[in-house]
Amino acid sequence: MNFEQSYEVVTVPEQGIEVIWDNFHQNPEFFQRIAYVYHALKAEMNAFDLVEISMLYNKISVLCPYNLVEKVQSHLELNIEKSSGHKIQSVHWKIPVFYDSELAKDYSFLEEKLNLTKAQIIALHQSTSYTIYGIGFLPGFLYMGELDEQLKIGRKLNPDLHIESGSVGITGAQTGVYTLNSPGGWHIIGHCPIPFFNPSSQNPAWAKPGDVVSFFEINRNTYELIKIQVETTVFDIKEYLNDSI
Amino acid sequence: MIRFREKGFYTSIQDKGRFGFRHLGVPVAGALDQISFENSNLILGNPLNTAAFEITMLGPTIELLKRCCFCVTGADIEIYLNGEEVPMNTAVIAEKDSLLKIGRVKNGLRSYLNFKGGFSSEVKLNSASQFSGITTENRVKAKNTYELKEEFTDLISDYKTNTPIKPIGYASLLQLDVYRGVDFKLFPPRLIESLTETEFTIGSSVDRMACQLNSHGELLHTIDQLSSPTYVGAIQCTPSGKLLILMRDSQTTGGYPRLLQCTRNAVNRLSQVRPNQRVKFVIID
Repeated sequence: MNFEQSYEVVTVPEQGIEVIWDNFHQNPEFFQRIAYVYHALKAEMNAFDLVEISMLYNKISVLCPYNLVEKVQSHLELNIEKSSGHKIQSVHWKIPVFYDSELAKDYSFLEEKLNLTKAQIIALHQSTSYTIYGIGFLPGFLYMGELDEQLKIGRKLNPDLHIESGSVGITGAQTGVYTLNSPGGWHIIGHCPIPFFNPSSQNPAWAKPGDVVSFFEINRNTYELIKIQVETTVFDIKEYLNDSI
Repeated sequence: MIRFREKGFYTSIQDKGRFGFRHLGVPVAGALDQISFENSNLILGNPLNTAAFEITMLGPTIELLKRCCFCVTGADIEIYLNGEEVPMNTAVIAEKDSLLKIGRVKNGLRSYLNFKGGFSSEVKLNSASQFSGITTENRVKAKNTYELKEEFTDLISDYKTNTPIKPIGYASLLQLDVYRGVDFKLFPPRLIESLTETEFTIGSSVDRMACQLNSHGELLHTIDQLSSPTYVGAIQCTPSGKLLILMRDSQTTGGYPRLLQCTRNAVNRLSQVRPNQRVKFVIID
């Protein structure tokens, strides 16, 4: 099935529409095109109030007043056609992780279940670049994948009631960084000193779906230094851009 | 200025909600019973997005340090101004240094206290609605003070509404209008009959994130799909057959299939139900 024939538009009653692509797993190239459609649609509908467009994996969600549904649908169809030749403007972020943190409590469990040493787990987590498939769960939380096969593990059977903001977790094929203190069921392997969400800014998040993230290990000194930079607002996320994408 | 002497059971500041940041995982939040919230602004002649205090079960006690005009809408609740009972859904004038004591909810769950001209509070991402991680506080605390935005100098209140504003009704068996949800077709087609014939009960959790219903054997499923967008009023079905109705503070994405979708009005009505309320679904085509 090709991209243009693999989608379905479902009504979200009284709220808008949701666009769902089938055969997502079998066609890794679909994601780039979905991200293209999402960003194009978002830019085109920007002038209209009360329109909220978001995406996650194989779905684009559009909340809008009823009288705009037809307009959204025609823009959607055009962008689906256009999406074959275009590439989205994605950015590659290199994000520091302090793997040796006391907050990373789950290594002994993971070492046993995955049959890997802590050093191997840390190396494997840094070995790949991850695609941002969408934002949700918590404000600024990035759904990222695909994790190396050897790191795949199910969710915790009993979720932790308190996971510290900044904790780096893994589950299934996904990895992510908790952006707020929250309950959660992912296994924690490190701590990230940089903020993913700033509610005091009109642009509260720096990443977007389709961007790429890779992680690099930092020691305690660097971790503490970055935390101070963040607290004193000297910190600039642009220093973590990798231009060589 | 007004000062909270007692905070009540759970009092938070809410407006219409936070729009434009859903794609970054920010829940819409806002007053759960939007109709009662809007009524509070209509009664006072305020702009319709003027933030109010959302009161749950037991109200706060507030020192009114300036002359002001207020009203309370939503769930039936006792209101005492300097010890004297005053009516709901009515603009009431309070003289400087009055004591406003809001008591227990008698019927329903959430009431809205609003002031003529509004009060100042922290605004984040274009909304005053309190939410953990977005605003500094997620609810009102004792000793908090808020400035009233307008001096109230009128001698009488002429904001009495011409048409009486009807609070949302609470039926002993709540008929809930729902549509088929985005993932409805992942479930067996015969399910629709059993859904409309079954009487459900609201569970013990009725917070701002979700309203839980008791489980139902026929809803057990093994549907496993990628995490999806969620919607206010979406009714998710867990593998163990539990229904979760998402309210305005719920996260913007989630893993459970979205079986049904409440009408907007059904969400307003659900925000006034208590645990053990009996519920029946009426499916709208």
